[in-house]
Amino acid sequence: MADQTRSQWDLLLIVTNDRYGSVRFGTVRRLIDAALRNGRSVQVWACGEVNRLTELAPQQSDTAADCCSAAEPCCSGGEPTTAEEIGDLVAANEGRFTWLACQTCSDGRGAGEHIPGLPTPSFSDLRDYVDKAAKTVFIGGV
Amino acid sequence: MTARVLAVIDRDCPGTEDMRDPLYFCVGVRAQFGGVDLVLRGAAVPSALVDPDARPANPQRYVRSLVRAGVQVWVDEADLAERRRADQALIDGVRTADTDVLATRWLEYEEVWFL
Repeated sequence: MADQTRSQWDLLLIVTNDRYGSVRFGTVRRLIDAALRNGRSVQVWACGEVNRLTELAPQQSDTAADCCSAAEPCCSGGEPTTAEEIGDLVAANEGRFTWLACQTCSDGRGAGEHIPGLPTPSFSDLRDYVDKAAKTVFIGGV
Repeated sequence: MTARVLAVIDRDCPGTEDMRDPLYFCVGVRAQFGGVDLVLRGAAVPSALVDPDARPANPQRYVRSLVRAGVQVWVDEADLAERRRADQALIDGVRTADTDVLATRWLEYEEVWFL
C-alpha cells in the first residue's frame, strides 16, 4: 500500500481509453466530482488516446466564426468541449485537481498542443505519481 | 521476490501498440514499478496460447516479452480449460493456477490493478 503519511494526493485515476473520455467522459467526470465533493484531491493520468481530449481546439473556420455570437459562443450551441470542461475543472480546483497529459503518449500519437495549465509528465514518471497518491485506480479498458 | 504490482487482465487483448492494450501497458510499466506479475483470466487467456496463425500484431508477443523479462505470468485454470483447443499449447514459462488460490496472494502486492 502507498505510504498514507507521505501521500500528496488522495486519488490517482489512470485512464487509458478514450471511450471513457470523448464518449463517456461522464464516467471520469463523476469520479472526479465525487472525490472533490468529499473534500479529496484527485489527479487523472491520461494515457494513450485519451490525450486527444485535451488538445487545443483547431482554429475555427470563417464560416464558424460568423455564426458565433456573445449570446451563443459557438456553433455547437454553447456546450463546452471536453477540453474546456477539463480546463475549467483545473482552474476551479487548484491544488485539488490535476489532469496529467502524458507527453510520451501525446508524442507517440501525434497529438497537438494541450490546453494551458496541464502538467505533461513522461510515461517513465508514472511511478512517482502512483507513489504520491494514497489510492490508484486504473479505469482503462472497454 | 514478489513484484510490487499484480496486474489482472480479463478482457481481450488486441495486441496493438497502444495503451488501450493492457499487455502493452504492462510492458511499459514493468521496469519502473520494480516488477509486475500478471494474471490472465477470461477473454485474456488466448493471449497466453501459442497461435501459429497469429497476425503480426498479436498479444502473444507481449506475453513472451514479459516472460523473458522475468515477469511471472499465470493463467486461470478454469478459464484455460474452457478456452483452449486440444492442440493449443501455453507459451513457455506461463503457469496455471486456481483463481481462488491466486486471490489469496493479492495481499503480497502493494498494488493490484485490474487492467
